[in-house]
Amino acid sequence: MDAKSLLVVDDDEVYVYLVQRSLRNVDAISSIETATNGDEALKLIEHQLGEGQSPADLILLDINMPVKDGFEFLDGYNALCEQYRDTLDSTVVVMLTSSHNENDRARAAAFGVVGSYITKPDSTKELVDAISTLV
Amino acid sequence: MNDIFEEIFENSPVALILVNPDGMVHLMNSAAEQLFGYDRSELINRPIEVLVPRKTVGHHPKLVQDYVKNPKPRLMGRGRELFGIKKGGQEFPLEVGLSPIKTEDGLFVMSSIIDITDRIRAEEKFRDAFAAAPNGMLMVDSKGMIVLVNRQIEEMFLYHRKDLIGQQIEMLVPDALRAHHPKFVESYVANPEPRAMGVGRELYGQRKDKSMLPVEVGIRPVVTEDGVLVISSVVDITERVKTQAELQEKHEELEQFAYRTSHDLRSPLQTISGLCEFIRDDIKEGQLDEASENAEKIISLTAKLRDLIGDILALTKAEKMEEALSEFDFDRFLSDTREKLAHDIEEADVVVSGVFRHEDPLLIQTTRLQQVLENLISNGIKYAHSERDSRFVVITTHQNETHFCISVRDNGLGIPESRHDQVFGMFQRFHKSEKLGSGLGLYLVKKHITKLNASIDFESSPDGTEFLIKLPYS
Repeated sequence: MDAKSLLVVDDDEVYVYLVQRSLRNVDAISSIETATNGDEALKLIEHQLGEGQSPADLILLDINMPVKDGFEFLDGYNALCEQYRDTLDSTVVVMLTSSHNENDRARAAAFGVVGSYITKPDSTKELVDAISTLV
Repeated sequence: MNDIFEEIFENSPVALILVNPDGMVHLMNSAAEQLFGYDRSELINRPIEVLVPRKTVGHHPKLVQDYVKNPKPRLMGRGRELFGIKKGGQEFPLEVGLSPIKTEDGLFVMSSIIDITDRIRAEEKFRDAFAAAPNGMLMVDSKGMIVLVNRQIEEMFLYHRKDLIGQQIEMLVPDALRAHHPKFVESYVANPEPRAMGVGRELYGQRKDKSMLPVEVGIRPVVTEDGVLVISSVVDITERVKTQAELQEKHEELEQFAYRTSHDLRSPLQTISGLCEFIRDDIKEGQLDEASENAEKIISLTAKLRDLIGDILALTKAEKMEEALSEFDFDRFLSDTREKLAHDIEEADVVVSGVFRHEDPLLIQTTRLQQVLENLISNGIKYAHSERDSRFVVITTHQNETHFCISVRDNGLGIPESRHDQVFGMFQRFHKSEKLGSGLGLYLVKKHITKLNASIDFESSPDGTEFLIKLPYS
């Protein structure tokens, strides 16, 4: 099985570092890109699609972020899916958030592109386990 | 046999007077003596008019003649208020029943007389209670016609009582329900018992000007000889509805606050715990540089947590902080704030200055204003524009005819226009995470401003932001 590429979208840069370092030694992951909010992430993906590159296989998406939050990202991402159906077909979005709010969970589930909803685990080991099962 | 009738006549608890065909008192019992205060010897063979008040005495003989022409048992003075007069001249309300008695000597009339002073007093008491009730009171008859209202009803519904009495109760019912209402009245009259109206529904009355009045209505039947009357007690619950809405809003705000606070406290803790695991691993492997970097990250995360907790505390206190007014010393405030924020000012390379053009001293709850200005200045520093030649935050004051005005202006990043309506909301952040505040600062500002009866506005563009506080003099 090919190693997967990841895009981590989170405004908490220390947490992004935490994810990167935790997954550093996971063989199934080939590369990790980062974006600090929904807007940045959308621009990155749009750019990649425009350049004919394939975007990340797995997008880890936070909810509460400035500029564009997780749901605003999903709105924009849905629009991109319309346009680049074939390319984005293999990409899975995973919510990785500290929100335990049931509304957030339901709202995320309503987006077809969202594969799963993970609340940020308390330990890095749990985080590695959770991501490993996804890739 | 006559003896028995005499006995019954004499001992009847009701005052009885037998009048002969000439209109003279023929017989009276002891109850009649007591009622009118005469001894029977004083009245027998005297005209019955002795017992009739002066103002009606002239008509009385004619009334007697009319009765004699058409004699049958009936009440006297139907529809009129009747009075009798006692020996001392004192008038009192009474009710009289008349029965004709035919004899060989002509038509005698038996009058049974009841003193209704107590009943009239009770009615007056009822009317007084009606009038004095703190809430609206109205009474309708079994057909839904308004027969009595008090002043509160007039005030609530903006009608004069003369426009209400005799009208259908439906005129106070919202247009949309008017057509159904007579059915409710009908079914209530058929099965009357005290209860609240419209349980489980929101009830509204309709005022004269067509506006809606939220009400609570209790209804109670009064069974009278004229049929069932319904007394409604109407409470204007405008204030309660408003308070409930405010409470609901507070509750939702609190819920959001608890949710976001726990989120904002939990996330950095999780991160700190992860970083500690890395440090542990790095120490085992001798990777001390990365361990040291991560320790720095933990230090700055804990500082942020401390700030967040500080803001939460300030916010909790802001709600009920009580403080006497004292003069706000702007120069001293500026130098204190510069000192307090010295580290941030230096790091961001921002010039913080003041131009104070007010003439009168400002008397205010100084702690509140201090927190407001400190937050605004600190935001100006936090969100300074690093790519400009120079950065500033300037606080100015001036007075106009109505307000003491304070402005805090910077040439920082500005607030994205799309978020302008959320500026004073809870947990709103508008910039990248490296500058993350608690998201509570401007929310706290707004809270203090409200408590100071002041107003705050802002203008923001990519060139900078200006907050303008207006404090009214009164």
